[in-house]
Amino acid sequence: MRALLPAFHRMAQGLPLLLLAAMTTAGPAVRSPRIDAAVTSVQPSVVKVFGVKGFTGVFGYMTGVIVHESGLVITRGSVTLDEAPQIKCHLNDGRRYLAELVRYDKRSKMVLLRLMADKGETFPAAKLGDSDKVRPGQFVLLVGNAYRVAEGGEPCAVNLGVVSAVTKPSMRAGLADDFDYPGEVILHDAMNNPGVYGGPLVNLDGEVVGISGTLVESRETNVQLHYAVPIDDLKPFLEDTIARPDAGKVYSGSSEDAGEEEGSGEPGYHGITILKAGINLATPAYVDRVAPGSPASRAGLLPDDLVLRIDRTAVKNWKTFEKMMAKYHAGETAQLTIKRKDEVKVIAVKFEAKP
Amino acid sequence: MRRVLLLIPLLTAVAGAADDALAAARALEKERIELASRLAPAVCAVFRGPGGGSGVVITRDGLVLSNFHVTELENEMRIGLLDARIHEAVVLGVDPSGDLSLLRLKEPRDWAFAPLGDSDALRQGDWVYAMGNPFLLATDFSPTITLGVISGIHRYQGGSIRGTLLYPDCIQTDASINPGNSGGPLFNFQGQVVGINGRVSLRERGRVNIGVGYAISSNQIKRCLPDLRAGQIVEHGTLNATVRSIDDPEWPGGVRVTFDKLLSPGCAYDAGIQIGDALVEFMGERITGVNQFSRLIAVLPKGRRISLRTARFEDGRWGEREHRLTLDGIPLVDEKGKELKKPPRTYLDMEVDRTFAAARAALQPVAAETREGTLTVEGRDPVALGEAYAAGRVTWTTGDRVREATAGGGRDGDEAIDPDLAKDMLERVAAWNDLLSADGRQHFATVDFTGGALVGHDTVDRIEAKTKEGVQRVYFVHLDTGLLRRLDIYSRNWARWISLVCEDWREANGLLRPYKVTVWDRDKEKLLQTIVYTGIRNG
Amino acid sequence: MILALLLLFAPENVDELAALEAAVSNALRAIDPSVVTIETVGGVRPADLPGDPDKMTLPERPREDKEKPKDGEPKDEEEPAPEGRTPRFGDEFKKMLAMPGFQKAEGPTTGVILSADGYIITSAWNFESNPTVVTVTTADGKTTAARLLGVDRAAGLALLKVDRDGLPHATFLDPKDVAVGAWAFAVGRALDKRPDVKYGIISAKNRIEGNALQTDAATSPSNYGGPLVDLEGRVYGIIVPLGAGGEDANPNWYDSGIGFVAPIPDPQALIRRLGKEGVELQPAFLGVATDQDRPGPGAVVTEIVPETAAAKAGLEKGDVILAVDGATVPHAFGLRFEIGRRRAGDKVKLRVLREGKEIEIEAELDKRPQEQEPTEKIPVPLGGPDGKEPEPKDKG
Repeated sequence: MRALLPAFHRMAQGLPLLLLAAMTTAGPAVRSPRIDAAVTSVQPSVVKVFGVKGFTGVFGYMTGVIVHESGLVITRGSVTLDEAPQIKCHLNDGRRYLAELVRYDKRSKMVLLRLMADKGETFPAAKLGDSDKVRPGQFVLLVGNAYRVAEGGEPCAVNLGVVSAVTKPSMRAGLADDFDYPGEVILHDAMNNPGVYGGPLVNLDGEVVGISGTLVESRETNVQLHYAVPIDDLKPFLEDTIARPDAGKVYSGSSEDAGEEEGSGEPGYHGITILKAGINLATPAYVDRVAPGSPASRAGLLPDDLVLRIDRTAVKNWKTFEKMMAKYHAGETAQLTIKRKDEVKVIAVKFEAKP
Repeated sequence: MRRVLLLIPLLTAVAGAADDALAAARALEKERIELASRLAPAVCAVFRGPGGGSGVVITRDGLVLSNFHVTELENEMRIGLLDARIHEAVVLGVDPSGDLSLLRLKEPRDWAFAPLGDSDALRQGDWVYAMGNPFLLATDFSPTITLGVISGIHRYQGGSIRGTLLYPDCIQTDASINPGNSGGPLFNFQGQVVGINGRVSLRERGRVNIGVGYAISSNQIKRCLPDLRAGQIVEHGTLNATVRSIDDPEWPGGVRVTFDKLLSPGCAYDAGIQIGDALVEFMGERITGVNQFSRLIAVLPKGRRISLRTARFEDGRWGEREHRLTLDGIPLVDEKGKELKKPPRTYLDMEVDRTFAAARAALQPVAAETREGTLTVEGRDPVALGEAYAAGRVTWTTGDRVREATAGGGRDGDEAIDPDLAKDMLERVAAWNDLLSADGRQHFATVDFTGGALVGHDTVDRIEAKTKEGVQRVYFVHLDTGLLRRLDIYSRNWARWISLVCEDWREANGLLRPYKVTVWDRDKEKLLQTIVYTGIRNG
Repeated sequence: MILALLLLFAPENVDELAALEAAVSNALRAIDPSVVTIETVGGVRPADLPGDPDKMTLPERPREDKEKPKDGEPKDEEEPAPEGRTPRFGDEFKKMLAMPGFQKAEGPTTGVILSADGYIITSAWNFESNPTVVTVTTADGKTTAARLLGVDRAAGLALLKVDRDGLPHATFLDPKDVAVGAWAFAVGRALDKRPDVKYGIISAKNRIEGNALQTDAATSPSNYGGPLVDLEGRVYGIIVPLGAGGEDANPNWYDSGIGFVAPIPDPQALIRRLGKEGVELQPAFLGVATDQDRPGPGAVVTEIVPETAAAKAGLEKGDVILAVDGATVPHAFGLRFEIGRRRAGDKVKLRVLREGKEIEIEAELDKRPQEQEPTEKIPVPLGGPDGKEPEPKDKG
């Protein structure tokens, strides 16, 4: 049988090769050198993360990426990790480690794990990029273990996409309840899926520009958003953890972030009575009455004005109007976009304490 | 002043760069468009009753690949092509375990096709086109073309409980694959079929693409293509045992794969393997995970001899042992677990309509003449067909020895068969059959193309010539290369290998036929029989 | 400097993605000013309405012209609909819309400026709820109230008008000049007022009875009504939620890689057709059955549906329709697409081969007869292995 090999070689030098050559020169490139280089560069740092229940089986899986050569892995925090008596991490080179949860970032819901390795053992840390430079239309790769297609040393899946926008989708009405990241996120069209959470979003230079969040689905339209937390937002978390490894399990970020926390207490007073009509909530938010001397009255709001937006969120009906206005406290200001006849205008209403 | 002057060319340069970027992007886009338009005519919309899927023509003579779950065991399918017309096709062979089926377009003509490529040459991030008829949107059968990259290769996706529709070595892609894409091609950017799209991972939302699609790899397809062409139901091998992985820091690699279920009877059970035994090596490859093992075994056919090494924990240590056993077959069942019957012969007959029958028809006048004694058979006890196959520049050889050199520059060793000739091998075998049986000598009950056989890592076409006494086996090279691997025939009755040499190939009625057939013993030392045929006339 | 940049983009050794990103960035810059956010307030999703969907009525629009009671009494949709009032949008949609989970016209969507004087094209999807107020926010952040003019049911388009001048309008491509495989970028402006982009290619032409181009870029309410643009920011068409077999897109189709855009070869012609309030274009119907297995050129008539455009125009069984308004018909499907691209009420000139002679026949296309509509069974793609999340599989 071996003797036949030379014949194969002879044949291979003949016609088929010529055909092949003709094809390759005529057609487009088989692969993009930059995608190829980016995949090659990031894959060794990508970690398959498993939460392990007892001794028997795997019940949760996600993706992480090594961000420090000492074996720090960033991934998305989840119940899988919280409840796991053991967290296991599989590297692409086949190495497997137990990992401990080092710290949780309240703001981004990301966690840092530490691979429990021998002293002196080092790991290939991914290059972290500059997420400030991310622009819509730029190509990105999302690397992750969707549906646990990869187990041991098999590489995680690579999906190609473009950056759709860098924005704060939380401002948009009707988004999923569980989305509360306060900052801007990178939206992209590379499909995010269970298992990819915590996986790196990589630019074509092979640098990590974001860490994949969970799949977010709009409550109203079922539109799904694929987002990643910009890596720049996570760098303080990472740097602080490296600098102060024993600073506690929870990282609450810098003090500026605290201001973004929702206030509490009584809702403020505005003085608008909205037209309540219809049990099915479909009636738009028409102003019915404006209490004389109230903040709304002073701002110039009139009966019959139709409220279209409160700050940047659309007001669909009277019910949403009430719900949203109740979130403001005395001293805060809401920008109301209203329609009066054919005119659309913005009126600022400053809330007061209830009289 | 100077600064201003400098600024102007700089701006021009930036503007120029933008234009150039666009021009470059446009030029490269043109190549993509051309590739898409070159491939589209080979893509099929496959219809079964009110439903349908996709397919792709892979040979000039109209062989079409699709999914088993698209064709199932239908005899005939309707295929819509880019010409906006429906064409008739027959289902030749199916592979329920591997979710493949092979069809042939009935009309004999040159079809637009895309050849199978090498799926092992793919890398993560390679560009691919998926084509097909998702949601059966194409009223005029023009395929939907979606772009993506390779997300992963050598993926394992489990099948149904009964072992069918298994994707043991598939390609993962983020090109949009949806219901109706089933059976359609995944193309690399060389224009080759590297996979057949067959399944996706789904979210709870519905049966639409979420960027995780799987295609059966072309290299897996190549292994069972001959069986499919021969009208077989491809039977996959199994150990009739299941294994699972256990984390064991003591074990090399940290993961021990152990047997956890054994069926009795079953080849693993019969070989003495027990629950708890560790699987160390399979076919010489060290086993590090369940998926890896599943990938290795899933591509092997029923009846294949395999070797494996297991280890058993006894007396405080792992003792290794070697096994050699013959793989059982995975029962042929449909998705619901119902057993599939062997296909009626009409599958092959359908092909006969196209090819064998044409050869037979052409031989009718010959059959009449044979009675006049123009076919001479020398010697007694013709054992079976043999190994050499000479037609002009073509030589059939055994693996190690060649006795019959070709007229056209043949030499010892192996010769390439002209691909065009190789393409027609089936017809020639049919012609043989007719030549031999028309003589009235019933040494050869049938000469059938019966599928493929795994030789080393290659699959070759297999032709069985059945005598009244035994079964003979012939190996061919696949049509891809047109190369002949080996042609051996084994007679159970005589329990030895024999060789057959066909010579003096001439064209008759548009088909090449051997005018002289000699039958030898295995070592080509002893001539057993010579069949000389002089009565084939052109026209 | 010039030399270096030129070299960088020399086609021979150009990095494809770098060139693409540069081109896309310019394309986005070019299209951005003409992509607007559309928001609706009020209105009723038919799904919200109680009771038998067939008996549903829709509230009147526009709402603001109506005298509003001052006492906050329940009114509007709770009031019985005025006698004899025809709902603004076809009743046939209600049933479908009323299906559980079928949600429409929620949240902001996208539109594209057709002309400097304030015509805006978008997807009809956004107005199924018959909203009280429609506002348009342009890229410069300015919000204006808009009027809904005509709706094209066959292409799923709606025309809006805002009273503004000097708006930056988009450039549109003729589908004839579009090649399958070309890069395509879907742009929406529904998320936080910033444009968002998704990449793909042109997947196919002549979809949805010849009314749509198909793309594999992700489409969903986040970009319905928005443009699908080429490498230069020119618009292939408007992203519309069309589906197979007359089915409208529902959440199952979102981001599936099966997206459709309605091309706008002639924006001015579209404005002329849809530029009046209440206009509602319906799919056209000729009323012939054709032999789909017969090779072209031309479409062979095998049946004439009585009392349809074909019957009235005098078409006969056996006629071979060679051209529609001068456009040659390559095969039976070609005829389907030519008719599909037109609308009920359009007049067509058919070149017909009858008994060896070419004749010309004029026909005025009908609406699709009611009973005809659902007869065409939606074909079912054959299901694959049910790709649920794979269980950990241990087998041998």
